[in-house]
Amino acid sequence: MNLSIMRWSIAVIAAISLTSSGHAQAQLDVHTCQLTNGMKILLLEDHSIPNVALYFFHRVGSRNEHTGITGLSHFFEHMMFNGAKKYGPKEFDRVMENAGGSNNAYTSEDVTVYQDWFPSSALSLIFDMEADRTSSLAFDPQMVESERGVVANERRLSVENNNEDSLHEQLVASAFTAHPYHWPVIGWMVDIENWKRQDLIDYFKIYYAPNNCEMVMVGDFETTKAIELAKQYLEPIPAQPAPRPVTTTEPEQNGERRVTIHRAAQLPSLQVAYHIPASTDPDTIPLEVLEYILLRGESSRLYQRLVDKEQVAISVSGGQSPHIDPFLFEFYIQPGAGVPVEQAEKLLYEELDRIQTELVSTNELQKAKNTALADFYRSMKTISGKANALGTYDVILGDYHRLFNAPDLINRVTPEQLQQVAKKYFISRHRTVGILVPDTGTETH
Amino acid sequence: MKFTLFLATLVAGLFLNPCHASDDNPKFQLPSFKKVVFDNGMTVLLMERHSLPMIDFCWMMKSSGSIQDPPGKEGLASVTADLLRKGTATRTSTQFSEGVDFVGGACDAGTSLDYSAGSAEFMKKDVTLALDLLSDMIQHPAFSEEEVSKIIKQEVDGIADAKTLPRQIIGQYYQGFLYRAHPYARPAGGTEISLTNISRGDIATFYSNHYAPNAMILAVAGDFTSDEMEASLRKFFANWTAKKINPTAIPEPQKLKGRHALIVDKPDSTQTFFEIGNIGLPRTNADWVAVEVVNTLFGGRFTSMINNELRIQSGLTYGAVSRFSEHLAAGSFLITSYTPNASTQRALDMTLDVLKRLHEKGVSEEQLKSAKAYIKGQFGPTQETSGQLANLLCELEFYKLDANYINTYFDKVDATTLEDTKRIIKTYFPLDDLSIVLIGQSSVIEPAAQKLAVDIKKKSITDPGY
Repeated sequence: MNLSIMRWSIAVIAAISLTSSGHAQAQLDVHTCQLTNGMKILLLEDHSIPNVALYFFHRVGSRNEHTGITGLSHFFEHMMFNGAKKYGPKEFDRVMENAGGSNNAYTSEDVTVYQDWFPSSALSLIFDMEADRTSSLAFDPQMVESERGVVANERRLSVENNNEDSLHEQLVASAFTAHPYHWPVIGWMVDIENWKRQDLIDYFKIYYAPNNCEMVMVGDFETTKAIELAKQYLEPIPAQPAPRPVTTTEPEQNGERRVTIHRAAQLPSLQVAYHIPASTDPDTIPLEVLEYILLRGESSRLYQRLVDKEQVAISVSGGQSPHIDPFLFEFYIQPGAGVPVEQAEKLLYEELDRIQTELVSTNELQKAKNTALADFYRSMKTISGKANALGTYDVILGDYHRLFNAPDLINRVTPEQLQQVAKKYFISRHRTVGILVPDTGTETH
Repeated sequence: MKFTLFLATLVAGLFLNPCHASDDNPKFQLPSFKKVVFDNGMTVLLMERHSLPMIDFCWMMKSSGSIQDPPGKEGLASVTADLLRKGTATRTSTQFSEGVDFVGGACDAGTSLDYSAGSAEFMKKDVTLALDLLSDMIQHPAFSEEEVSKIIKQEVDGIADAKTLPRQIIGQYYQGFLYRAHPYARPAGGTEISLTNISRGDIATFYSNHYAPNAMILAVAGDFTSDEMEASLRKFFANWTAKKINPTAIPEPQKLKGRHALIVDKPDSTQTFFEIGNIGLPRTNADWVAVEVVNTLFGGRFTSMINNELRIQSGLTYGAVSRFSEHLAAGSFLITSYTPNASTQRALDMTLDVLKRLHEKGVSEEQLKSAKAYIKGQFGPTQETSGQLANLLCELEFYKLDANYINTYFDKVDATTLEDTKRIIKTYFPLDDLSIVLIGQSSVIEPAAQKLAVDIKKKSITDPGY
C-alpha cells in the first residue's frame, strides 16, 4: 500500500481516537486558504477511493430574497446547469458524465450548494467547468422560460402533490411573519411565474461572487495541485461588493399559532414547531441532546410513548437543523388510523412538559452522549459526508472546527442544563401547530 | 415493511483498492476477506477495515423472502423480520431498543422478494454487546401477541399513509400488474387485508420453517481482527442447530405479450405517475454487466436518453429513469417518470418514442465510451463504507458470485462492444410488449392510455392492495 495512504490512515486513527475519558479528539488535516478574490477554500486529502467530492457553498438562500423574487436562489440551482460561456446549453452534464462524474445541488434557506463527484482523473476538467459557470453563466431567455416550467413542475410535485410538504410550508410561513424564513425555499408559485430575466442577472452578480462562496474538496488529490488549479481557474473571477446583510429579525412570538389545511388523505397529519436560536448559539448543544432523548431511536421518549405504548402515532420525527438565523425545533407526527389528532398533540405536550419538570435520568443523558459520538464518526465515513459536514459547519456555523468540538461540548451537558433549555424553548406561546385534515367527504373527527 | 437492502449498490457490484490515481483507470480489487462456514452451515464473511472505530454487520436469511408468504398472508415474512428486535426470550422490545440506542448503535431488518436481511452498526468498543443483541434477535425472537398486534396495525396504517405519495407505491402496483400470477407479484409488505390475516402462530411457524444457521449469511466489516471476530461469532452462533430448509423453486417469469395498462385513480392528483416495462433478467445472468452499460445510456444517469427527452429538452418532468431490478429469478425492467396532468399524453408518447429509437438506432461508439467512463468513475463511492462492503459480501455470497467477479467487473464493462449492445437491446429492452401502470386522475389518463393499450384495467388508490 502506498505510503501516503498509510500515513493518512494512521493519522486518522490517531486523530479520531478516544481518550481515556471517552472524548473524541479529531483534528483532520484540513488545509485552509483564501484566494485573492475572497473565496475561501477547504481541502482535505483522502486517498481511500480514487474519487473526489467537490462542493461549492454559496452564501445565498431563500433568506436573501424578498417578496416578488421568492424562489430565485433555488432557480439558480437549475440555471447553473443550463449553459455558460465555454460549456454551452446542456453541455455541463454531458461533459461531466462523459468524464465519469456526476453532480447535484441543493438550496436551503441559507445556502446553495453545488456538489460534484468524480474520478480523480477529471480534476482539472471539473475546475474548468465550475469556473466557467460561476463566472459566465448565460441567461438565455428561452432557457429561462423552459427552466421556469421545470421549477413550477417541481413545486407542484414537492408541495402541491405532497401533503407533508404542503403542511410544512404553511407551518413555517405561520411561524415566521417578518423574517425571510417566512417563504418557502422553492418560492411562491406566483413569484416563480413572474421573475424577470434582469432579476436573475442582478441577483447572480452579487450572490454568486467568489467572495460570497466557499469551496470544499475532499478526496484523492494532492493539496498543492488543488491550490494550483484553484488559483488558475477560480482566482481570476472578480470579487463583487458584499451582499447586503439580512437585518430583519423575527419578533418574539407571543401566542400559539395554529394552521389547518385540507387535503385528500386517508390519515391526518400533525407538525409542531418551537422557535429556537441560530445554530451558533450555545443553547443548540443542549437542544441537540434533547433531540436525541426525545426523538432518536425506538427507546426515545416520543417513540416509546406515542408509537409504542399509547399507539397514537405510526411515526414520530423531527429536531433542529443548521441555520444562520434563529429557526425552529420541529416535531412531525403521523397519527395512526382512527386517532384524533388532538390526542397525539396532547401526548406530545405531556412529554414536553415532563422533560421540563423532571430531570432526565443519567442513563438517558449518557445514551445521548454516546449516540452523538457515534454520529460524529458516521459523518466521517465518506468523502462526500466529510465535504458536507466541513462545509456546513464552516459556512453556517462559522467555523469547521466546531464539527470536532461538538462531541466534547455535548459531553459536558448536565441534566439541569437540559431542564433549563427545555423550559426556555418548549413553551406554548412560542409554538406553531400545523394540522392536515383529510378531505374525504366524511366526518373523520 | 418492505426493505431494500442497498440493491442499487450491486448495480456496480465492485470495490476499489485504495490507491493513488497515478493512471486514469486504476485497477480495482475487493479488499481481502475471510470466509468461514460453521459446522451448523452458517456462512461468515469477515473484512477488516481500520479507518474508523466502527463495525458493520450485514446478514441475509436465504429462503425467507416474501415469495414464501402463504397466499392470503402476504407480508408474513416482512412482519417476521420486523418483529425480530421487538422482544426476545430475555429482552422486551423496549429493553432491546435501549440496548442498541444506549451505545449509539443501529439495528434493523426487513424483507424483499428473495430473502430477509438486516444490518447493524456499532462502535468497536461495543462489539460484544452488538453480537449479543444480533444473536439474540436472530435466534430467540419472542413474537409476543402484544408486539404482533402493534406491528400489524403500524404496517396497515403505513400503507394508508404511503398511498398519499404515488411515487412511493407505484412500484408495488407495477410489480403486481407485471408479474400477474407469478409469486413476485405479491407485495413484500403485504396489503391492508392480508396483514390482518396474519396471526402470532403464523409468524412463529414462519420463523421456525425459514430461519436457521444453514440459511444464513453474515458479513462483518470494520475495526476488528478476523481471528477474534471469528471466535466471538462462534461463541454466539455456533450452537444454533441447523434445520432442514426446503428450498423454494421460483418459476421463471414469463414476459408479457402485448400492451396492457392499469390506471389507478387518484382524483386529487395534479401529476400523472407512470411505470412502463416488462420482465428483465436474473441478477446472475451473464449479460448483467452489458445490460447495465446500455441502461446507463438509456435511463441510468442524468444525461440518459429518456431524461434528456423528458426533462432536459422538454421540461415535462423533474426526472425520468429506467432500471433493471435484481432478483434470483428474472427481475423487472421499468421506465419511471411523472408529469403534470396536461402533458400526460405527450410524456407517454415521448417515452415510447425514445424506446423505439433505442431499438432502431441503438447506441453509438461515443456513447458507449461515455457509459463506460461513467460507470467506472461513479463506482468508488458505492463501495466506500464498511456497511456497503458488508452488504456487498452478503450479496456476492447470496448470488453465488465471487471475488473474481468483482475484480473483473471493470474488465467486463470495458469489454462490452457495440455488437453486444445491439443484442442486449433486442433481448432485454421491450418495445411492443409492455406493462403500463399509471397513477393519477383517471379522467385525464384514460384518453392517453387508450392510445397505448387495448387492454385497460382500472382501480382506485383507496382500493385495498395494489
